[in-house]
Amino acid sequence: MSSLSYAAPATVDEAIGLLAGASGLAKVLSGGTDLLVQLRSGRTRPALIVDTKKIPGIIGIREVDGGFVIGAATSGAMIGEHAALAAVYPGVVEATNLIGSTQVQGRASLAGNLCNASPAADSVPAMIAAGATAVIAGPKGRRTVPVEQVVTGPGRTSLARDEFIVEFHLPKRAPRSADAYLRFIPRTEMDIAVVGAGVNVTLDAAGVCTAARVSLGAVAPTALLVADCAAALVGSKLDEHALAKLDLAARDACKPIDDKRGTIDFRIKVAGVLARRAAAIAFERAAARS
Amino acid sequence: MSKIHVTTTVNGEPAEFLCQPGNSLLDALRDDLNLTGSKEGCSSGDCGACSVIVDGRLVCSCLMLAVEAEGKSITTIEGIANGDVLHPLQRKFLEHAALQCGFCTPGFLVAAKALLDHNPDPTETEARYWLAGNLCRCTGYDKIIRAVLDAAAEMRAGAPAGE
Amino acid sequence: MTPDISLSQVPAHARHGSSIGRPLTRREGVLKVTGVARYAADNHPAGMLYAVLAASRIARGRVTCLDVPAAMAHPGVVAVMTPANRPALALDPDAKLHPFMFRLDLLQSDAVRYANQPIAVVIAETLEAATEGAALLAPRYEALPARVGLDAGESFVPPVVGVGHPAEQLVGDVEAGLASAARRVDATYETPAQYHNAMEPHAVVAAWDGDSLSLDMPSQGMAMAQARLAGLLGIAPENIMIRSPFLGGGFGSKGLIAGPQVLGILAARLVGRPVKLVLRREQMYGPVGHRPPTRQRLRIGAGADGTLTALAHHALITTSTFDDFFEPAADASHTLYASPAIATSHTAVRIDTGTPMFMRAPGEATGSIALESAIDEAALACRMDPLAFRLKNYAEVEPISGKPFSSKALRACYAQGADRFGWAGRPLAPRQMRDAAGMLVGWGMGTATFPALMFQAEARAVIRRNGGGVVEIGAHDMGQGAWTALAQIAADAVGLGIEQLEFRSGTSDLPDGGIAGGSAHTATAGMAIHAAGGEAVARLAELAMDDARSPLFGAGNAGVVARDGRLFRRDDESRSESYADILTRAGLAQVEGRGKSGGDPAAQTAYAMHAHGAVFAEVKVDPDLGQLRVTRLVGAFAAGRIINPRMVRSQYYGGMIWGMAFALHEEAVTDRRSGRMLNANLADYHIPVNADVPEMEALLVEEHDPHVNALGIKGVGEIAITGTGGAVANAVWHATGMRARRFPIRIDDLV
Repeated sequence: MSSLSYAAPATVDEAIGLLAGASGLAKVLSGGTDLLVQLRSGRTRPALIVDTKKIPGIIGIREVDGGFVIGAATSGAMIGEHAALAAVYPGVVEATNLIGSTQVQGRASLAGNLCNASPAADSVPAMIAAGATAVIAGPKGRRTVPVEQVVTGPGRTSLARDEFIVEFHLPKRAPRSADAYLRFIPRTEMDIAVVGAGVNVTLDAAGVCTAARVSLGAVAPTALLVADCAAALVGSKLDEHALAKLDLAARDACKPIDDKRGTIDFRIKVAGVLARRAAAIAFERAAARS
Repeated sequence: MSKIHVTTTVNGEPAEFLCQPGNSLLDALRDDLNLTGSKEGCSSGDCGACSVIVDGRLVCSCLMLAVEAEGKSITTIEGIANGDVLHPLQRKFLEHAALQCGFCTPGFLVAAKALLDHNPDPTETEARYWLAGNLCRCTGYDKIIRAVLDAAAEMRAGAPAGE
Repeated sequence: MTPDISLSQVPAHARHGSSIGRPLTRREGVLKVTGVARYAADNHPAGMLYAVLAASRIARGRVTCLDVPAAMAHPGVVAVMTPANRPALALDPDAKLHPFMFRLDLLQSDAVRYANQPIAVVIAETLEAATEGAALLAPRYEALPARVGLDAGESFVPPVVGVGHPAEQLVGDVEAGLASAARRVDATYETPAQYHNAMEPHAVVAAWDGDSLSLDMPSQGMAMAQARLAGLLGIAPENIMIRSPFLGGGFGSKGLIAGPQVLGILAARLVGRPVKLVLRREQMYGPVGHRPPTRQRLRIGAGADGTLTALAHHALITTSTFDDFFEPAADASHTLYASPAIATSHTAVRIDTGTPMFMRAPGEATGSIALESAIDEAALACRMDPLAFRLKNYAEVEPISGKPFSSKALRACYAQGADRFGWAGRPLAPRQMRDAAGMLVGWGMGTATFPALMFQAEARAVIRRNGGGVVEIGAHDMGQGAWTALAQIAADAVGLGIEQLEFRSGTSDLPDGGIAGGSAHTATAGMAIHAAGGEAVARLAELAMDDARSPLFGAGNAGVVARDGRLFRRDDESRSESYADILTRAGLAQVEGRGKSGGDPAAQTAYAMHAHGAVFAEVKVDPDLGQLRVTRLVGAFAAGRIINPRMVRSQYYGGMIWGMAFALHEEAVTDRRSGRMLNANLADYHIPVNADVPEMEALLVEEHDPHVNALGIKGVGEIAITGTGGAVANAVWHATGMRARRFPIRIDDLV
C-alpha cells in the first residue's frame, strides 16, 4: 500500500488517462464502501486510486426523455430521497436502499455495487429487471450495455482496465408498468441476500401482463435475467397458474451454492417464493399506475 | 512517502492535516487531529463505532479516505454538545441508561443525530432500522431506542412553532 | 470492647438517605456520551510506535520462513519481533503453575497451534508502515492437517471442568430412574463455537522506564494481570502500573491478560520506545478466547404425572491441543429441577483451536439452552404446559447437593413473568396461533439460573475532616456499571451522601478489587468497600464515644449509626455529632479503614447460592420462508439486593439479547480443510442489530438473602443469557412444530 497514489480527476477523459497510464493496478473509487474494506484487509493492493466523484455529473439524478439518468457515484441515500425516481422505479430504489447500513447508504453507489461483482448485490437484480443500461466510458468513447452484461462472474466484470461506468439509464416507463424487489436475509437488517428477486411488469388496460422482466440474485455466479419467469407472467393476470409457473421457472433457473447462509435446496425454494411475492407487488403497483 | 495536505472543517472549526493516500478519515481524526471519540471497532463498516457526519450524510469514517475530506464539513462526537451543554440526545442517553461500556456510544449518538436532523419525528421502526448499522455488544438496543425517541420528542416540543 | 457499628444490622436500602437501591445514572456517563472517555487505544504517548501482529494462516504446523529483510526494508519499519529476537522471559509461556495460568503464544517457537496465532510483530513509525511490514513478511508454512470439530479425535474425561468442578457428578440411580419412567426424552443438541466480540478490540499501550512498566490496557482483572506479567517479565508487580479506566466490553475475554497484549509489551521492550498494539477485528478470533462448541445429550425420565425420575446430561466439548479449559456445560443440570437421580458428565476433544475461555455464563449458557429445550420436550411428552411441568419439578433444595438454597424466589419469577407475558391460555400443541399477517406465532419459556459467587478483594476508605470521604478500589467497569454501583455501596459504607464521596477506581495502584467476572464483582468489591467503610466509621465512633465532650460519649453497647456525615446514637437519635466535629476535636485530618472480602466458607458449606429467573419469549415465523423474528421477551429475575435498578435492567436486557442471539444468530464457522474461521468479521459473525431486537421487559423480583454476604448481593451480569436461549428455541417449536436440536436455529430446518 506504500506506493499507493490517489488522484481525483475533474473530467472523464482525465480519469481514463489515469486508468490507462497506471503502472500497476488501478481502482476506481466511487462510494468506497467495498474498496476500502478490501484495501484494509489487503485483498486488493492497487498502485492508484482514481476518485471519480469530482467529475461533473457523476453524482446526481436527472430526468431525461421521461426516463432517468443516475450518475455512477450517486449515493444510495440520494437515490432513496429522489421522490420522482421512487415513484416510477420503486423496486430499484428499494433494492438500492437495502445495501448495507445507513452509514453505507451515505456513500455506496450503484456503480460500486455492480462492479464489486458480488452475486448477492441487492441493486443488481432490480436494475436488470428494470431494463437499466450502463454507460461505460473508455479511450474509444462511450458504450452503452445492459446491466446484465456488465458482470461476468464473482469479482469479474466486462470492463477493460481503462474503462469505468459514468452513469446508468432507466428507460421511460410505459403506462401501467412498475417494479418490485425483495430479498431474503436471516437477520432483520445488515446482512447479505440469501436470495434476491426483482420483477418488472407492464400491464394492459385489462390488467393482463404484456411485458415482464424477472431477475434473481445470489442463486448463481451472477445475477440472472430469467426469460422463463417473464414468459410465465406475460399473458396472465397473475392467477395461481401463472404464479406456479413463475415459481417453477425461478427454481429451475437457480444454480446456487451451499453455504452458511443457506443450503442449495433452501435457496431454490426461497427463490420461488420471493419471485411470487415480488411479482404480486409489481402487479399491484403497475395496476395503480394507470 | 509523499503526504497529502488536506484542508477541511471539523465540528465547525477549520482543520488541516497531512495524510497518506491509504489513510482512512478515521485514522486522520484519531491520530492527526486527536479526536479519539470516534472508535475503531472493525475497520470494515460493520460496527458503526466510527460514525461521523460528512456534509450532512452519515458515514463510517473507516470507509472514507482521509484525502476525501478535502473541503468537506465533518461532525464528530466531539461536536455534538454545545460547549458544556449536552445535546438532548446525550442527556437522554444518560437518563435512559442507553450506554454501558460506552465504546459504541459515540457512533450511536452521531448516527442518532443524523437521524433527527433528517427526520425529527421518526417511528420506532424507522429508528431501529436507521441505527441497524451500529452494533452494541452490551446490547443496550432497547434503551437506545427509548432515548432517541424521547430526545426527538423533547426537541420537537422545544422547537419554535412552525418548525 | 468493640463498639457496635455494624451497618448491616439495618438493611442499607431501608435506611434514610441510603444510596444503595437508587437508580442513579452512570457516574462516568458524561465522559462516554461526549467522546472524552479515554480507552486504551486512545492513548498516544510521545515517541510512540505502532505494532502490528502477523497471524498464522494455518491451524497446525510450523512457520518455515518469514521475510524479515523485506519488512525491515520498508520505510518506517523499526523492528520485526520473531522467535529469534523476542526479549527473554523469566517464565516459559507454556508453564502452568496453577490451573488459572493459561498458556500464551509469545513467539516461543515456530510451532503453530491454531489459526490466527501470532507469529511475528512488526513495529513501525506509523500504523500503515507496520501493517505493510506485516504483509511483507509473507510467511511460509509447513502445514499439517487441521483437526476441526467435535469428532476430530478421541474424547477423554477431563480432570476437572470449569473452575475446578468434577467432570462427572451423580446422585441416585439414573438408569433405574429412566427404566421406571412412563415418559422419556433422549435428545442430543449441538451448540457452536462463539466469540466474545467486545466492541473494543484488545489493545495495549506499553511504555517501559528501566524495569518499570506503564500500561494502558483494558482489563477485567488488573491485579491478576499484574501478577502474570510480573512472572513473565521477571519484575516486581508493584513496578507495573495498569490503567484500565474504561473497557469497551469484556464478557470474559479481558479477564486474563491475552497473549497479544503481552507481545505489545515485549515489543516496547525490544525497541525501547512506547508501543501501541491494537488487534484488528479479524485477529480477535483465535488468541483471545472463545466459547467452545458442544454436543449435549439429555436423557430425561418422568412419571405419568410429570414428576421427574431421572435427569442425565452429558456434554462433549472441545478444547485446545495445548491447554486445559473445559466448558462445564452439563453442570447446568445440577440446580434447577428436582429429580431423584441426576448424572452429569463431560468428555472433551482436543482440536487445533485457540484455547477456549470464560465467555459470559461459561457452561451455564451452553448447558441451559440444551437443558431448557429438553425440559420442554419432556413437558410435551407428559402433555403438560411447560410452566406447569417446571413447577411440578420445582427444586426445594439444590438437587445435586441436597443443600437448602440461601434464598430462592423462582416461584415469584415464574408467576410475575408469566403474568406480564400473558402466558395463561397458551395452547399446548404447536402451530395453533397466527397473527393478522398470517405469521405463525409461538410462545416458549425457560428457567434462568446462575451461581452467586464471591471472590476476594480489598478496599480502602478515608473519612476527612472537611466532611468528605474517599473510597479506593482497583475495580473494573467494563460497562456493567460497577463504578456507579460500588460508589453507591461506598457512600453508604462511610455514611456519606454520594455527592460527598470521591470514588477512585480503575488503576492497579489501588487496593486489589479482584476480578470482574463470575457475576461476582459487585458482591466481592462491594463487600470489601463495606468492610473498609465500616472500619473507618468504627475509628470515628471510638474517637467520639471515648471523648466526654462528644454527645456520643458512653454510647457503649448501644452503638452508633453512620449517616449523612454524622454518627447517631442508635438508641437515641437526638444525640449525634458530625464527622467534622469529631475529627476536629481529635486533631485529626482523617481516619482510614481497610477492608477485605471473600466468601464465607461456613455459609457456602451450608447453603446452595444461586440467582434465578424465568424468561418468556414470543416468536413469529413466516410459514413459507421460515423467516423468524423474536417479537417479545419478558424476563423476571431474582438476584438478591439490587444496588442500582437502572444498571441492573441494562444487564438483564443485554443478557436476554445474548440468549436470543445464542438461539438464532451466533456461530463461528471453521473451514474443515484449513482450520481457519470462515466468518472472522462482524459482517459474517452475526451479533444482533437494533432491528433484530424485540419488545423487551425485565422484571426485578424482590429477594432478600441473609446468607450470600452481608449486603445480600447476588450477581446479575450473566444470568439473563441462561433461560432465554431455551425460551426462544421452545417458542420456535411452538410456532412451527419443528424442534431445533442444533444452534443457532437454521431457517432451512424450519421449512
